[in-house]
Parts: sequence; structure tokens; C-alpha cells
Amino acid sequence: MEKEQYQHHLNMNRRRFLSRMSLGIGSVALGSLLIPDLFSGKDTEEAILQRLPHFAPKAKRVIYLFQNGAPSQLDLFDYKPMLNERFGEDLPASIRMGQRLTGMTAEQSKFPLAGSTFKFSQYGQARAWISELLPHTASVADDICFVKSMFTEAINHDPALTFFQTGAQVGNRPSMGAWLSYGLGSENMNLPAYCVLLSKGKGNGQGVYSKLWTNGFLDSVHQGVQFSSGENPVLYLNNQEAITKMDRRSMLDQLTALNEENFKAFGDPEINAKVQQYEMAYRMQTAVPEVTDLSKEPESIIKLYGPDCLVPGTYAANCLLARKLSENGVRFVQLYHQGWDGHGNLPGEIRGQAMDTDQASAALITDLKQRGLLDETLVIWGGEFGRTNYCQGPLQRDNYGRDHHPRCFTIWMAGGGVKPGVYGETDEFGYNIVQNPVHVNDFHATVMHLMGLDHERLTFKHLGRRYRLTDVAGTIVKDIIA
Amino acid sequence: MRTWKTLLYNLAFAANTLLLFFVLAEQWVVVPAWLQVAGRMHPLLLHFPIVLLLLCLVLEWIPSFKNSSSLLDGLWLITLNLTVFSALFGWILSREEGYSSETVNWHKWGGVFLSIFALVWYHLRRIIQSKKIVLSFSSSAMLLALIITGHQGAVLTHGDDFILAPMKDPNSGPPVAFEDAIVFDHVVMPILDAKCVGCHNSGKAKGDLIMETAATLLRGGKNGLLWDTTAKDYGLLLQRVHLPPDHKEHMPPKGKPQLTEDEIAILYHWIKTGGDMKIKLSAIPETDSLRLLTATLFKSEDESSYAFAAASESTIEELNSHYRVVQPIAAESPALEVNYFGASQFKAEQLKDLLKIKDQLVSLNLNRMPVSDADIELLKQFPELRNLNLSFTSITDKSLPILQKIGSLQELSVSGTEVTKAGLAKFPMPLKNLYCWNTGVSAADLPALKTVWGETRLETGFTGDTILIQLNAPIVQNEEQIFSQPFELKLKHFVQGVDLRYTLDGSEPDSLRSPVYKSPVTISSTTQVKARAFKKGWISSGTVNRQFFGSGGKPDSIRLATAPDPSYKGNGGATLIDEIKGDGNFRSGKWLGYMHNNMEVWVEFKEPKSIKNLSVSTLVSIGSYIMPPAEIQVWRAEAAGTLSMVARQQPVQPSKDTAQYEKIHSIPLEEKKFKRLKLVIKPVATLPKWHPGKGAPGWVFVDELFFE
Repeated sequence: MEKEQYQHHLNMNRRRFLSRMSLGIGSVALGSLLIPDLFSGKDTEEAILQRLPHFAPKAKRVIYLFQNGAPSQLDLFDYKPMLNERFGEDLPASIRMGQRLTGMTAEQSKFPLAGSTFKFSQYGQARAWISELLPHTASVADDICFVKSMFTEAINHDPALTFFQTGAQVGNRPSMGAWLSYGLGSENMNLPAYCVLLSKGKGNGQGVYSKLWTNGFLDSVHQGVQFSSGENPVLYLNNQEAITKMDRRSMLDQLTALNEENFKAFGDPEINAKVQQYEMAYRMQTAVPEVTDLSKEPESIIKLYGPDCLVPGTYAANCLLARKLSENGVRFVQLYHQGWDGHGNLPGEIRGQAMDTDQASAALITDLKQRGLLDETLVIWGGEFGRTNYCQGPLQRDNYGRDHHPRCFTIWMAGGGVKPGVYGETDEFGYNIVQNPVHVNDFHATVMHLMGLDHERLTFKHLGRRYRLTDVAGTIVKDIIA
Repeated sequence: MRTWKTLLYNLAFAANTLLLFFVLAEQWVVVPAWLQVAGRMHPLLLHFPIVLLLLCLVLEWIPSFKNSSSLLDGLWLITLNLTVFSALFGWILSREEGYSSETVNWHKWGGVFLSIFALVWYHLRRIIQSKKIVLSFSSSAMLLALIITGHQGAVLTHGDDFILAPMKDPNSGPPVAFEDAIVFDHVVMPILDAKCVGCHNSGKAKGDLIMETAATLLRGGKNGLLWDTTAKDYGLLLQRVHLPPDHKEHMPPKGKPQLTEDEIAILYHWIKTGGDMKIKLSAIPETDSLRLLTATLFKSEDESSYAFAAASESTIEELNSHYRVVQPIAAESPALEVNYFGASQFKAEQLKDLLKIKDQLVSLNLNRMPVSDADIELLKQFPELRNLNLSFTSITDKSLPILQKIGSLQELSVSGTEVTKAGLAKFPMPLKNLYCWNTGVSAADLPALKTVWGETRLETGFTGDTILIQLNAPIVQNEEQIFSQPFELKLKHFVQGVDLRYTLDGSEPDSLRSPVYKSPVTISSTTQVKARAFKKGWISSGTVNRQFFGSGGKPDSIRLATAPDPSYKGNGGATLIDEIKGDGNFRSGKWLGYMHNNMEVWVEFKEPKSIKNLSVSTLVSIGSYIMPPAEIQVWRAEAAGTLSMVARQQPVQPSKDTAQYEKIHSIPLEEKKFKRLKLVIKPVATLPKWHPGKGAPGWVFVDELFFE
């Protein structure tokens, strides 16, 4: 009896509690039925296209000069006279610390230290060491931030490249450019937000594949658009004979109507993505010839980039095109230059690679600067990992090879709110980092920060969890931000 | 009446459940825009529960209301609902940008507590009323929660110390600009104030140390002076700070708020450099650690702040098109930037549309648009315009006096326009940067302009007039090296206005005697083509060197007298005259490989033929031990049946490791008709000393023979 009275006071018993509870839960369930996206956190298509930086950005655009195959930091930037003094001596075990090697040198009985055969000098206010291979880069040293303490987790090309591009070593994640396109949208709606340009040097090359500029699980409008290396960067741009602009327009309108029918029936967002791509291709018919027209470039530009910049498919031509695309509001221009994988004959090969890239890379900085665009354009130069301080294969004073080395390497950045100077330091052997290590995730976080995005907030829900470019890691390298 | 009460009660209960769910599951919940409107009602609604809860509390104490009068019951129910909905709306508001501080957290949980506590109270009213002590306790708890939660909410809206602010020292007013910051006053002292002065002040001077002012700091405490730059550890203060936290003498003591790593670093660097009390932060070199550590604490005058109201979203949307992009510089910023794209779509009169956002426009990009001086006039009406890009537009000096009147301008680019030195000298502007590359201004004019333009950085860029650069070599467009019919030789160069000069006899082309390439040249026999490019103001290019081999006379039969290596036997002798060139892969079956024995080939023509030139196409791949032939011999079978050697060639051997390449060896023959021919190609017997496989025999690989 007492219990009943108590319950009466409470005006509550188990059954009522549960039924009322279900009322509460029920209202939540009802709400989520009425608004399917109420709890999913998924953005509508429109919201994605209207994206803005989280905070005022330092850089609006990125030009990433990817040196594919991994340039030797020890022959370009990371000056280690100790390696010359102790030329041919075995790498001390205390330095190597039993770290992982590739299958290419793991069987070597000795790891003879190979000092660079190239001369180094110091340049700029930060007195950055740069080898004789890069005289043009040296001339713009005051605009460059050299990060000498990059490191990565992968030891082979494909996973390392994929890691740099997508933040994960396995494929199928969206690439950096796709994330920026997703987060910031396109500045110029008549060009893709993310363009890819390829070139090849004469050195030992490694492949690049379209998975490196994939949209991954993001909408396919964010995919990198690869430009052709021929004389027409975008193929099939012109209307066929006897097809006028009006014909093309009405054809597209009909096609859109049909696609809309289809979308109503199936609701597949890819259909809408396709329609948008058709529309962009239509606008590109006028935009691309305007952008790629080189005839109005003054002769000083040809001298600045070197005459190769007029030869389609060369690195210099891609640098010039990258500037023109970037100037026209392309958010992310990705270049790949192949041929840096110097396992053997490194001095000969790297000389050729440097000849191909040095002048145009430096020219890009000068050119952006003289137009007042360097402040808002971030230029990044670097490979997927570094190269070993010991020789792969037989060692000679003027000929050696270097294996893959993920534990330290140099990349550089310029413009876009980066503070010029030298950041980070490696040990005297150029093997381990002794100061300010920068992980690939940190690099991504920093680039996103410069672009006005919080790398922890730009997420996409896929397979039941939210993903980021930096996934669960990444610290912004505040010291290199101006 | 009862049904109303049940309904109200159920509503309050359900809402509380929802509230609890939201608060606990908030990381998975995203608030749709329409609910945000409800959230913003929170500041309106919250006053009801404050008043009503207080009223309920008071009435509970008044005896005449005690006995569950229907009025008080109804009041409670209304209160419950208003409380829980205030909390719910408050939670929704807290999900918006900018509400992430600790205060919000306290306020949020306070609200949840109040709402649920009120619900529980309502259930247990009889029990609570029955005992005075329970009533007192509950009432005080409710009152306390109400005050704390209400106060936290007020702090959120009005800021900390809002109530007492009028009584505070006016000096602690606006933040210090970076340019004015003094290291001791604005960096070091605040750290000491927060972490040290609590125990080391004139009221409570632990260790006889007072850290309140510069003078008392310099005096030190009972253990002596605080710092000593000559000591290894820079003296007492840093010594104590650096001790392990568990150490008895570690400062600040265990249990008190500790110094952060950055704070320790700041103290360390400041003391290390002498503990200067007067030095300004901006006087420290930019790369100094102390400056790097502290610079972020101050707002520089460089940082842009925008104190104007935002334009309406519909206006912004209306102005956007495919060729004109108008958008805020960042989410929630009122400042707008405008970019124009597509010169062919640009209409100057549409610039007037921007007047709708004249108070918000801070950045305008008209790069490459056909903008003329007449259009610039309009720009005077944008009071906030800071960044203007007029590169490669059609403006002239006439625009400069107008631009000069835009007082807010900081960055201006006139690169690639007809602006002249005289114009710029006449109309200086107080800019940060002026970009005037590719205009009438050159680097030589800078010193003169500097005197007028003062602090503005003038960028003239790269002109290249005086720089000599080598042209790249011409391109031979003919890809096929082998021809059976005469063909047109086509040369090309991408730089406009170059002279292409060529020779067909193997001599070096020069800029005087060699013919200039104007139209395609017909080639009908085996020829070595050399070409170079020349242009005034450039270093002439390197020589491009290409050989073309005629292959008019295909033999009627071919036979290998010696067998190739079984791994590289291709299709036998036919491989050599199938007119299919081998590729980089010597295993492809398009190549014949020999190592231990010579390659001997018999060739036969049905009708006697005269062969002018015999070409042997070979591969060199040093890493794979494939070298050029050591020797090539050509033997002719005479009518009598005897053999005589008619030609012999020993190709040059490489002297170091190189990348793989293909090489065609051309052997001229005396013109004489014959039917049969024997060809002997000898591989290298021993690899040279520099080769990794020195001493071992080399390979020779042949893919094709050409008879002209």
C-alpha cells in the first residue's frame, strides 16, 4: 500500500515513465522523419557550393609543384659537409638506429656515406644553403620558406605520393585539391577548381595516376581535371563544323531536361554532378582559349620562364600555364614533374632535372610577385620523401645513387602568407631530424590553415564516420606563418 | 482543467527528455537553419523562467499557497515548460559559431540542471513541503543554481566583469597594438601577475619576494636576486621554474596554476637577453625567439578589421554571375571581395551594380578586363576599398588622380598598363604595395619615385632587357628516321620571330652562310640534318642533329648464318627487314641479341642491285651489358663466288654509364651492282674497366637493317 501511495505522490510509475520516455524519443524520431538531414550532419549540395573560408585566408590559391620520384635534399638544400669529410665510411649504427630500409638496399653489406658532389652556398637574409644546381631558386631565396624537417611514414613511391596527396597511404581518399574544392568551391565558375598538369624529365621516373587527383568519396565535381600536355591543353573544346553555339546550347538544354527526368526517377546525385559538368564544359569553351592564349605574354615572360615555356608539355610550359590558370581563379593547380628517382647515376640525372625545373619554378614566384599575386597564392615545391645519405650501388666521388629516405627531406613554400626563412634542422649526417619535425599531416593542416580552413572542421561523413584530410592528426606549423 | 494540466505536464516531460538527449548527444546533432531562429529566441524567453522560478520558490514558503492550491500547481506547470524551452532554445543557440568557451559549458549544464530540478521538484512537491529542512535545502539549491546560471549567461552576453567594469582601472582598456608593446609591461608582467603575484605580493610576500613591480623584482627575495645572466642557468627564477614539478622548491608550487611551456620559454628568452625592462617588442629582430613567441599575443595594426555592417544576402546573390564572383572574404565577415573573369563577357557599365555593396567592398580584381580611365571614376565611391587589381587593363595616367582619392587603398596593381613614371611621380598614394611591372616604369626609375612614394614598396618585376638567355633548339617535326620515299623535312620553333638555319651536309649551321628555313625541304637520300635557332637579344640555340636513313632496296631474302641467343631470337632473319623498329624493351621480340658469337647475316637480291648506304640499327643499354657493336663488316659476294670485304666500321664505345639509347650505324658503300651480301657484327668481347661487369662479354642487339 505504501508503494502505491508513493507512486501516487510521484504521479509516476515504470509504465508511465517508459511511455512518456517514448513520447520524447518519438518526437525526436518524428523530427528526423520530417527533415531527413536533421541529425545526419550532411550538407546539402547547395551548401557545399556556397562554401566560404572558416576565417580570413592568407592564401586564396595553391600551385603545387610536385617533384615526383623524390629529389635528393642532400644535393639541393640540405648541406652536410660531414658526409664529404667521411666520404665512403659506413653509416654509424647509432645514427641509423635500425630503421626500415627499402628492399633495394636492405641487402647491402655496407652503407657508405656519399657527400654531395655539388657546391653549396648561402643565399638570402636567412642564409639558406642552396646547391649550384638551383641558381634561379637561389636568386629568389628571400621569398622562400625552406622546410628542412619534413618527414613521412611511407618508404615507397606509391604510398608516399598517395599519402602526400590524400592524407592516407591507401587509395580512395579525396586528394588535397579535392578537399579545397569541396571546402572553398571554385573562384572562377568557368574553370575547374582543381587542375592537374604533367611533365616528365629525363631522370629515372615513377608513374603518376589519376587516383592521386581523385575526389574519393566527395562529389565528383571536386575531381582534379588533367590537362593534356599537347598543344591544346583541353581536348575537343571546339564545336564540330556546322554546329553553332546556339545549337550547342539547345542541345545541352534538351540533355538537361532528360537528365532531370532521370534524377526525379532515381535521385542519384551523380546525375546532377554530370549536368553541372556539361554546363562547365560549355562555359570552358570560351574561358579556356582566353586563359591558355600565350600570344599576349610579353617577351620578358618568355625570358623569365625560359624559352621552353612555349613548348607544350614541358615543366616550364606547365609553370606558365599554372600561373595563368591560378590568375584566373583556379583554386588548386597541381603539377607533377617526373624523373627524380635517382637510385643510380644521381649526379647526372639530378643535373638534368634541375635544368628542367629550376628556372621555371623561380620564375613562377617572380611572376606572381610582379603582378601582386604572390601574397594570395601559395607555391609549394617538393617530392614525396627524401633520399639517403648513403650510396646505393657502387660509390664514386662523382657518381653515386641514393635510396628512398622518409625520415627527413626538404620542401619549400613561397607566398600565400608563409614566412620566408629556414625551418627545421637535420643532424650532421642528414639522416634524422633534430629540430621542429613536420609530418605530412602537419603540412596539410598548415596549408589548409593558410587557405582559411580549419582542418578539424572541414569534414565529410562517409561509411558511418567523418573524415578529414588530416584524419585524426595534424598540428598547424604556426612558426612558418607570417 | 485536468486535461490541460496533463498536457502541460507531458509536454514538459517530453521536452526535458529531448533536452537531455540533445545535450548528451550533441556531437552527433546538427541544427537546421530554421531551428536556429528558435535558438535566437533564447535571450527573450529566458527572463520568464528566472522570474517564475523565483515566484514559485517564494510561494512555496507562503503557508496559504502550501496546500497545493490549483493556482500554484498551474504556475508550476507553466514554469516547467518555460524553463525547459528556454534551456532547449539556449542549447540550440549554443550550437552556433562562437559559443565554445568554458562559460557556455557551465551555463548550459546550469540550464539543464534547473530544468530537470524543477521537474523533480514538481513531482516531489508534497515530500518537499512536508519537511522544512528539505524545503530550505531545495530552495537554496535552486536559488544558487539560478544565480550562477543567470550570471554565466549575462557574462556571455555582456562580457566578463560587466557589472564592476565602471569601477576598474581605465588603463586596462583596449588591447595593446604590437607596435606599442613593451616586453616587460605587456608580456612578462601579465605572466607574473597571473602565476606568481598571488603569493609574492606586498600583502603576502612569501620568501620575502615581492613581484608586483619592476623595482621589487630587481631587489629579489631572501634567497637573493631573481636572475643572473652570467650564471649557467640564468639565476634563481629560471632554476626554480625548471625544477621537476614534484620538487619541493619548484615554482609555482605543486597545486597552484603552473606556467605553460610558452610562458616558460618567454621568461627564459627575456632573462637570457638581460631582462631589459624598457625594450619594445618591435625592436627585437624578427627571427628572435622571443619575438616569435610573443608576437601572436598582440594585434598588429596590419591586421584588417572591418567595422561596417554586412550587405544583405539577397544583394550578394543578385550580384553574382558566372563572370562576376562576389563573396565575403570569410564566413561571417561583412567584407566582400569581387572578382571578374572572362574579358569577353565584361561590360564596363555593370561596374555600377557594385554600388549596392559600396560600403562592404574591400577587394576588387579587374585583372585583364577592358576597363578604361572613364570607368575608374566610379571607384571613388567605395570607401572601404583596400585591394585593387588593375593589371593589364586599358587604364593610363589619367586614372591616377582618381585612384589617389581612394584613401582606403593599400594594395594596387597596375602591371601591364600604360601608366608612366611621370604619372606615378605626380600622384603618389599612401599604399603598402604598388605593382607596376611591365609599365612605363623600370627598376632604374625607382630611386626617383621612392622620394615621392615614401614607404610604399614599389615592385617593377622582371624586365629581362639586359639578360641574355639561350634559345632552345628547333624541333624537327618528322618523327620517322627511316624513309623509303622522298619526304618533306619540317622544322619548327615556338619562340616568335626566330631564324632557323640548317645544313644537310653534317657541318655546323651558322648565322651567316647556312640557309634560313622558310618552307619544308625535300630529302631524298640518307642525310644528316643539323639546325639552330637565332634571334636578336638571345644567345643562339644549341644544334639539333637528326639523321634520316633511306631504305629503298628491301632484299628478297635474308638468312642468319649464326644463331642468336635463344632468349632473343625474335622472328629470325625476317625480324631485320620487317620495317618494325624495336622499342626500349630488348625482350620484346623485335630485337635479335648476340653475346658469345658474331652475328652473321646473308642477304640476297633476285636482281643485281647497287646499294649506296647500309644502316644497322642497334641498342645500347649499359646496365643490361648491351654495348654498341665492336665492329661491323660488310662482305660482297662477287660473280666468281669469292667474298671480298668492302666496308668495315668500328663504332665508338661509351666511356661511362649513360641512359639507354638506340643508335643507327650508317655504312656508305661503293656503288656497284651485286646480288649477295654478308654482314658480320661483332659484340664487345670484354666489357671496359669502368663497367660494373668489367671483363665479362658484352651483348649486341640489332632490330633492323636498311638498304638504300
